[in-house]
Amino acid sequence: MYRLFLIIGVVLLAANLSFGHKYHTSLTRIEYNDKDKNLEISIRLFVHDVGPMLENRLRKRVDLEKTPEVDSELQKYLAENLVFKRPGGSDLNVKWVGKEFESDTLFIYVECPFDGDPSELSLQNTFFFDLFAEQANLVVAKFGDRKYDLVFKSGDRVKPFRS
Amino acid sequence: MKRLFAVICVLFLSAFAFGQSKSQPSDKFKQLDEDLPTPNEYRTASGAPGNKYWQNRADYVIDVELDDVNQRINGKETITYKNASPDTLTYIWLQIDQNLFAKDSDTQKTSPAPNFGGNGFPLSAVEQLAAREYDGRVNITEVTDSTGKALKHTLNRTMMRIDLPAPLASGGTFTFNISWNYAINNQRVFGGRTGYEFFPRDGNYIYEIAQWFPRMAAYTDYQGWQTHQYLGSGEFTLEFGDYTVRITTPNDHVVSATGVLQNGAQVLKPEWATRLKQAETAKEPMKIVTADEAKANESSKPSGKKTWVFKAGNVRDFAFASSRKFIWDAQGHNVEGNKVMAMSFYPNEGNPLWEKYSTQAIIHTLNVYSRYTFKYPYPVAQSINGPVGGMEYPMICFNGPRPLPDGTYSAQTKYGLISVVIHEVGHNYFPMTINSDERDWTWMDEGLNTFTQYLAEQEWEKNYPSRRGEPQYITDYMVSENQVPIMAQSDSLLQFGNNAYAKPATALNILRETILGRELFDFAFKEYARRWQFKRPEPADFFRTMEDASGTDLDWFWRGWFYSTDHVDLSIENVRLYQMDTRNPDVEKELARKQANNQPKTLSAQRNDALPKRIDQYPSLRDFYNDFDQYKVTDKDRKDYEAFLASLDDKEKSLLNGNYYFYVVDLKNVGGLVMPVIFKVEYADGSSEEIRIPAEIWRYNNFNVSKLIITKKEAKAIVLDPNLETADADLTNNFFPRRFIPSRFQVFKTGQGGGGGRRSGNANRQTTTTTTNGNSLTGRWAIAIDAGGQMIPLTLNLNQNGAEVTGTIEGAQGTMQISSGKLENGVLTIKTTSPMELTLVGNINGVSISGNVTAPQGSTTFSGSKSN
Repeated sequence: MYRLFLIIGVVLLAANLSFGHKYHTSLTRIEYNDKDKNLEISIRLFVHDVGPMLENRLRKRVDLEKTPEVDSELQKYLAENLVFKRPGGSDLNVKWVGKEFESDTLFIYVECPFDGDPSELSLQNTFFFDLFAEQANLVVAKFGDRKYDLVFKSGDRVKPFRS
Repeated sequence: MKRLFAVICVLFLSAFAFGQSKSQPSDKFKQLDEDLPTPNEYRTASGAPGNKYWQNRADYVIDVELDDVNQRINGKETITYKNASPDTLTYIWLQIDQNLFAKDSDTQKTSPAPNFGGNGFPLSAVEQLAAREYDGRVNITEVTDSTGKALKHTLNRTMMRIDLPAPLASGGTFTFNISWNYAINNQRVFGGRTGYEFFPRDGNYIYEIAQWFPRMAAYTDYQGWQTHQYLGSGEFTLEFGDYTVRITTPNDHVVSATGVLQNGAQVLKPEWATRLKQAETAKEPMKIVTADEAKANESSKPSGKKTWVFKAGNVRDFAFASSRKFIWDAQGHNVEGNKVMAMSFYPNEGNPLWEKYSTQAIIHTLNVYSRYTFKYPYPVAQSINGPVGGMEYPMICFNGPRPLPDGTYSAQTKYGLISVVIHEVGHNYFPMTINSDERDWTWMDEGLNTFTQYLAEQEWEKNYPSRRGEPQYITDYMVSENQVPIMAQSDSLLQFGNNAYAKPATALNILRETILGRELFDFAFKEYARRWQFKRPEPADFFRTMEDASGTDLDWFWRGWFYSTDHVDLSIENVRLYQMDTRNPDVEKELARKQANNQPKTLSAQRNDALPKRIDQYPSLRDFYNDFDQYKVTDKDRKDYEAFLASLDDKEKSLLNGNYYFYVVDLKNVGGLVMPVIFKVEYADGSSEEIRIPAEIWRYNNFNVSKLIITKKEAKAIVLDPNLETADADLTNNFFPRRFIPSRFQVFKTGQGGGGGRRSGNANRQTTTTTTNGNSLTGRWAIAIDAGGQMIPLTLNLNQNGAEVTGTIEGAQGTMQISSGKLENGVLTIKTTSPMELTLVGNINGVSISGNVTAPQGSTTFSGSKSN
């Protein structure tokens, strides 16, 4: 039985080879709502990335729409892998808003109350880096009229919006 | 909007382009001639095979044994290679693709390091280290000519060269033998397009075996020998040929393979053979091996071996699957006169999903694809469930989705399975028959196939959740930084799936719907398929055929979508209104007076007004000029006007008095990709009109252009791309006047669901299941739509007749007819189609209503109550 868990866990090497028709990217859109002093964030992930990640962590077969632990585990995963850092180094509190599925895509919505200039924040985005070597996480941020494009690739950790 | 003086010649001003300076040399309409290969006698300028088109051929006779104890392949093959090229060959290359799994393969060496991050050493890395022992290298044990004499051969990673004992002249054939063996990869550990899956519960394996025999590399007119090593992403570049393959397995295995089984009488149980015969004329898929029989087989122990013999004609590859766990279902189907056996093989773990959908999806695929390309050319089409997520081979494909262990499955899994079966069976057309070079160009098979998959999915059920094809889904990728053009070699693609699947599929959908129209596109696409069936097209052959057969120069389209990373973002920068100068002094002078009076008074002038003036003190200072009213109409003015009218003919007169509005719309191409301009003009009277302008509007200036719209009605708003058909990435600049477009986050948080997705979370507004409490809906309802903080009042005039609701929606600008309406479980759904598409879904609670309203531009909330 333990072998089964191990087999499920092993997705790393699959990334080194070709993985059927899969590819590994995510897209996070961040908009600052100046009126509500709120960072509004939508995260677009592929189900074929989220599934193995959760199975790896929960050590069982997971159906994203049916397994009860999915939401709580996703929240834990987000807390570890999507981190906003203040200039002083402390982290913002990321609040879960909800999620929805659209064909092979999982949209996760979170928000971060923040009163200040968001371009002074830094971001850590490490989705799936422990699973897929060629993972690329794209971040598009819009703070008022200012736009920022960040790309996180395996090995990257924290990046400032304004460099 | 200001009324300005314009002259009649404004009528003759249509597309108005700003002068192009020398420092702005961009020409997005430049012809592709310099970028495409020069046409020759092998490939014509029209995109068809030339009069001297040739391709080489390889026929195979293979004996292979599947070792179920050690998970190994032992094979021996005889290849007959025919040199149809005009060249003399002194050596030949073969592909040893399974060397991808050699311990020291380039794939292993060139893969970047994973990031172990700060979260500890992942479980997967532990297993990776443990799996280091596996070496999938192919052992070539013998290479001989037809007389048994050893041939000199040299391995170059995933390729092998054989030096020919004598030069192989044009038209000649060379027959030789190879023996080999290798250890099969555990697909669940090592991934790949082939491999085995182990089932710990019953101790059995499913094998999906491909890239398993040394295959002839392709020698082509455009590249000579295909020399890209197999790194894993770029799939295969292969020659057609006939195959006879004898597969030896434990005698309790069920085997499925490319081609037709030749010795069913020897390898099938008699009842299986009988059912297989019955299935040829079955009306729905029927079981050859039942679930119970497959279950019983799981605890079987083999008592010996069996050899299954398959033959396949004119295929470019051969794959097979084998297991004692397989359920087998089949249905004969007539595809435009070709009798095809559609069959699926899957373990009990695949049910109840597989028995319901797999074979049905195969048949659906053959029907739809055959209509858009050509009649399915092979006698069988099969779908196998095993470890591989989705991979295609001639007549057989491997598909991964399975339900949960308790037999339930999500919508995700269901549509995942149907989509992957359609996609992989669809590959029988691209590239199994239209034999494009996959190692060079992933998009030529994946892009065209994903496009056709979209067509097939939309014929499976209404609003099928296709993940690729709709223009609006591609915009995030199109604006992303990290990408290369579609025209890039397969192993160098960034964002592989978007680049080679989604973007070309979307581009073709736009070409079909927006640029060519379905009739011209479908003819050209079918012509491409017909021309290149069983031949090897290059990208230029596709581009040229689509232009040649549609009679349309599309170089700008290929240049933008296939050769660049530009995205679509057109913007309405400004709209200016001009009206006709009637020359009628009674009209124009009065207007001029109004305009003069409307000019703001400067601050000084305002303050100076009150000061006493000298000419008031001494009226004798006044003369003609003090009292002259320049806006007063004089007799001379009227005479001049009459003379002017007399000089006009009737047509000119009617134009002059036509009360036309001239709107000059200033457009900007923000994204860089030139596209047709599609306007919806919304008039003050509530009506609207769609204006479609070809992309050539951008030909003189690729970035800024103004378009004149002449109407007899006053416009309230102009909307760009109202049907979301051009993949415009930024909708906020598509409206004049600008409209508020809520972000996906805001749409979700306010409880509307992002794009019709299936949702959960704290923000999920409870759907109430109240009823109408017996009250009829008939009557007037006053509602307000929340337009980003501003409330827009509307009146619903409803007539309820059972579940059916009819009536109108009244707004400040006019009235719209409800095109369909229904009441179900207390939820009212009404739709309008003209002049705008609107869907209102509201919960009725007594005499109040609240819910969502959706327009092409987005959705928002509304609420209200019955007013009488």
